Amino acid sequence: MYKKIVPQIKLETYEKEVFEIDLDIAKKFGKLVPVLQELLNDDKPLTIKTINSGTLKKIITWCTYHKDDPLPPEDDDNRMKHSTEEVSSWDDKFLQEDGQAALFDLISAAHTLDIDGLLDVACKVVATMIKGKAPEEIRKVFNIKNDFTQQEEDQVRKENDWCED
Amino acid sequence: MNIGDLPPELLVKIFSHLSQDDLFTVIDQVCVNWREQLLNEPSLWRKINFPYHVWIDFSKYTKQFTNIATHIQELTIAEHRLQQVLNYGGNIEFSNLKVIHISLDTYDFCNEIVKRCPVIETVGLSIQDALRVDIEKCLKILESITLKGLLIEYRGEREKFNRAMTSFIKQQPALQELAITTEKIFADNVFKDLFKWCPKITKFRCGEDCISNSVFTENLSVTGAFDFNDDGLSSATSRSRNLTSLDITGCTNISNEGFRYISENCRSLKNLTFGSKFMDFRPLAIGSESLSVIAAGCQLLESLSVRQCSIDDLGVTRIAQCCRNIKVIDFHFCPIITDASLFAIADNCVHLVTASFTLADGITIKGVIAPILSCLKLYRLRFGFCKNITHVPDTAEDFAPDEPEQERGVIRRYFEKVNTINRDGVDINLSHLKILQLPCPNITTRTILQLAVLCPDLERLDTGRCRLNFNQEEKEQLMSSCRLLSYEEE
Repeated sequence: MYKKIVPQIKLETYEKEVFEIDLDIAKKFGKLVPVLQELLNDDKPLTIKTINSGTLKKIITWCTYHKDDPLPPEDDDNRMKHSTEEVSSWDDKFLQEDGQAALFDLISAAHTLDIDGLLDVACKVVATMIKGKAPEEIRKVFNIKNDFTQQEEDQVRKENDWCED
Repeated sequence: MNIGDLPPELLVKIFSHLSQDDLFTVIDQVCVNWREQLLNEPSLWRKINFPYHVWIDFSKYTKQFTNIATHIQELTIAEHRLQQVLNYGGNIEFSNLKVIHISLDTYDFCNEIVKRCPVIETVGLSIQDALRVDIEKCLKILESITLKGLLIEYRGEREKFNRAMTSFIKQQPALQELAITTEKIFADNVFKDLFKWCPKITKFRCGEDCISNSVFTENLSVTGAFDFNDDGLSSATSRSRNLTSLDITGCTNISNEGFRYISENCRSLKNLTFGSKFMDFRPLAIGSESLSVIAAGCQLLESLSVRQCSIDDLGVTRIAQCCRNIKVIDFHFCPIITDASLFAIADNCVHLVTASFTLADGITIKGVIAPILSCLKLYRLRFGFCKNITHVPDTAEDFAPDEPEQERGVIRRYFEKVNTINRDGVDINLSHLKILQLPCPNITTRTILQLAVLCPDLERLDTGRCRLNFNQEEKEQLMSSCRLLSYEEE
């Protein structure tokens, strides 16, 4: 039996842990595409200080799971449709299972590495957490401080209570 | 990391997945940062849509409207709601609004559009109550600005509408798109003037079905317009000589004369669609004469779609002989077409990709085989409910000896091909056909098996609701002779 040799690249995380990533997966990282050839030839890992090991592991798992997804459609109409598609239950569970902080780490990392699909679906998950809630509930869910001055708050409330009839 | 640590562009990306309601009434109250990102991000407000007939408590939205009005590029809203916004906002301006769809309650509201939307390009008016909204006054007001598009849905007096329209188009040299939904299409003299005054028109839609065919830039689609006649077609085609796509489905008043205009004026026509409207069981009088005229003039034709017309073999033959680029042929419910048409197609149409015929009793198995053997780019072939497509004879001699030479030729070639395949295995020259659809009531399982041998790369075989029962052996045979992905059986 011969073993297929899969080309790999190396990434080093914030914790200085080095990950070997299959080329197929690394191609999904938009940011790396222009330098992939270099990385393949170079044995030294590329250091990405803003990403921690846990997050990179998640990203690799996500990309592996979605390896065979069709590319997003080119034309605008279909892309619109694409962006309103529901989040699959696997994605939903996968993205939420480590809690909010990890989710935002993931969003930030997906943004840094330019992984459109992941960024999109993760933002959708956050959006679902916001949808249909009142401002006070949203603050609670995300631990946001209400930093309106009393005056501003009165103003905002007034604007929203305003009724002409 | 916390949601507050995300850079603004990511926060905005999250917002972009929220509903219009959340953006209008909730997000701005969460915190100062959210409010600022929300109200200063034009992309979140580019397209705002308040469907006319959906009830909401609109007063909750009015104030926010004044904050984001300058971001909106495309707006759909009812007049009375926009009036509420204006009452609140005073001198509010929609400085980036390019497209507005509005259901009007009063004609003079058009003044507000003119006054407050400096870069407006396209106006869509829905006028349901013609007693309160005077179409003539409306369009008079809109004449003062230069529009690229006008879309009107109008229920009301026809004469008035025609007068308004005639006057309006004279003032709109830049008009590119015009779409009209009225109970009846406007008169042809208006139509003639349209192309005279508005030379830039590339999208024109009218008739019952106003949304069809808007993808082509050089297209004309007039579907289901009963008043649209040969004169209208003459003026339309003579002013749009670059027309590449023409759809006159359901225009029952167009005769052979009209087709002469198409042929003379539209030398670069690539797509032509005509015939009865779907499910309209009145066959049209348009016959082979029309098709011959088209064949003579529109030799660049690539796609021809005909519904329910008395087209016979002569017309199809002329198309096959003259339009050598033809890729798509669709004759739906043209019952007098026979095998002769298919032979002509097989002899001439080397670029054919898709062919579909339905309810043509004159087509037999020979008509099916001929294009498979000859049109080497054919991808999809469909014969719907052609009841005389039955079986392939076992030997060439089984065919009646008085068959015309051409038909015997097809059969001879078929058996030669089958013999070669039996001797040498699969003939890759025939691997072009991927989809074969034969929902014909009298077809035999044996015939399906024989056709499958001819088409080694078949991906889809569809026999519709005909009662076919393949036994296990036959199934295996099917699987081995083509890459069969799906077929339907009883």
